[in-house]
Amino acid sequence: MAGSSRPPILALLALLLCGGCVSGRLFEAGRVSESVVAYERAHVRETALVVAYTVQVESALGGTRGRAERAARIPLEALAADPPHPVDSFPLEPVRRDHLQEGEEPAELEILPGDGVPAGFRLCEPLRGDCLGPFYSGALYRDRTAWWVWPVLPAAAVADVLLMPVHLVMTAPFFLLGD
Amino acid sequence: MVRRRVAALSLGLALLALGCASSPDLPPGPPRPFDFERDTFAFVNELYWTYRFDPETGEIVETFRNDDVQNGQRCVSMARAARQFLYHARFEPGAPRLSARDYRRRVREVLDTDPRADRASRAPVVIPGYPSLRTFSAEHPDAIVPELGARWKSYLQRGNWRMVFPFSPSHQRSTVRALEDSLARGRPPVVHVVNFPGVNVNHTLVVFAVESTPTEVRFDAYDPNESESPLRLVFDRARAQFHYPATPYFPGGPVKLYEVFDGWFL
Repeated sequence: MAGSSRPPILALLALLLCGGCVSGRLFEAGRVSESVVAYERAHVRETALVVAYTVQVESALGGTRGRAERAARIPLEALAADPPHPVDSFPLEPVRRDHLQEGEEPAELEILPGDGVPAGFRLCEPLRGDCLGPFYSGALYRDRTAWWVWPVLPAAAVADVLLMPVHLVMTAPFFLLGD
Repeated sequence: MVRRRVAALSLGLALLALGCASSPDLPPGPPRPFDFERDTFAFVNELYWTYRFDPETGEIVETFRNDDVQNGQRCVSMARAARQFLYHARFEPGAPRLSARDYRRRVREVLDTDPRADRASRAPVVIPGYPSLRTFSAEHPDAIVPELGARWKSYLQRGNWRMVFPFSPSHQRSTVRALEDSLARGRPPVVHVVNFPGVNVNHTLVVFAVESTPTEVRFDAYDPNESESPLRLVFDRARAQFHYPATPYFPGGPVKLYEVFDGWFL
């Protein structure tokens, strides 16, 4: 009897250790983010700057999942805005990398140094010495949910329904653990 | 039957009119902006543990202090109380001082007010003999600490339920907007800082100033564990993540944040 009740108890404990809403934690664990590690080339086309860059892809569970090539179209008007647009609402548009065609006049980017990766850039006019920007790399940060989250989600939702009352009761003892 | 209905209608209208007549005439928000040097306690929320952080391994070694801690695990009560004093107390430095017993009674009156209220009292509790909460609390901690209440009040703060749920990036962004809105109206929000299911930070602060840049939103907050200087919380706009600075009780790092003492459920 005691032996047969052990697996469910262990399963319950394991789920408790997950802490909080299981399906929400699942989404947190399944988050995949991309951040700029290098700018390659850029050119001005009509009223926008098209820039090619490389991102590092990282998983919330830890570890780098490699690099990917990306491109974005940045309106010059937005680049010139004063004060600059916040990075989380910068009006830019992701475009396909083949938007940058060989042979076009390259634009000069003055890269702003960051912590091992470029913090951003200014778009400079070499003859006049004028620069637009700064543009911060944070505006190109992206995150998404990994594919494996979706098949696990139904089981997580069931666990939520079963465990939510326990979690709510456990918030009070949680305060005893520290200062 | 018709008469009864007319009477009931008249009564209802009269009550409505009374309600209008008795509505508070003070605008929302505190009577003046929160001032760290004036509106914080001179004493601190004491720590039961000492913490040693290994910067290389990230390991935290906690040692239980055997000191006689008088005012520990009361960050919730202190943060709440600091805002209540701002809204509901008036310091009159020129007035004659009171006995310790009378001061304690006045503190109790302040702390009996609604901690969620967003209007200053029309008749604030007068604290004579001191220019500010800082100076008053420096000389009369014994009038305040016992009135802050027992530790269990922190454990059962109404908004604690929220911490077990995940905080999405969009939630944290909307929290930043709400904090900015509150501060623009002069209201200093009380916030709960967690990294649940991690258990190495679980703290309550009063946010009182904000500075916005294209990449970050920087908040200054009153930390009940530290009376000397404000704490700087930084929100990374791109990652939608708050960063808590290194302190004697936390090595610094990403945290989640939500407002408490705000509305019915928090």
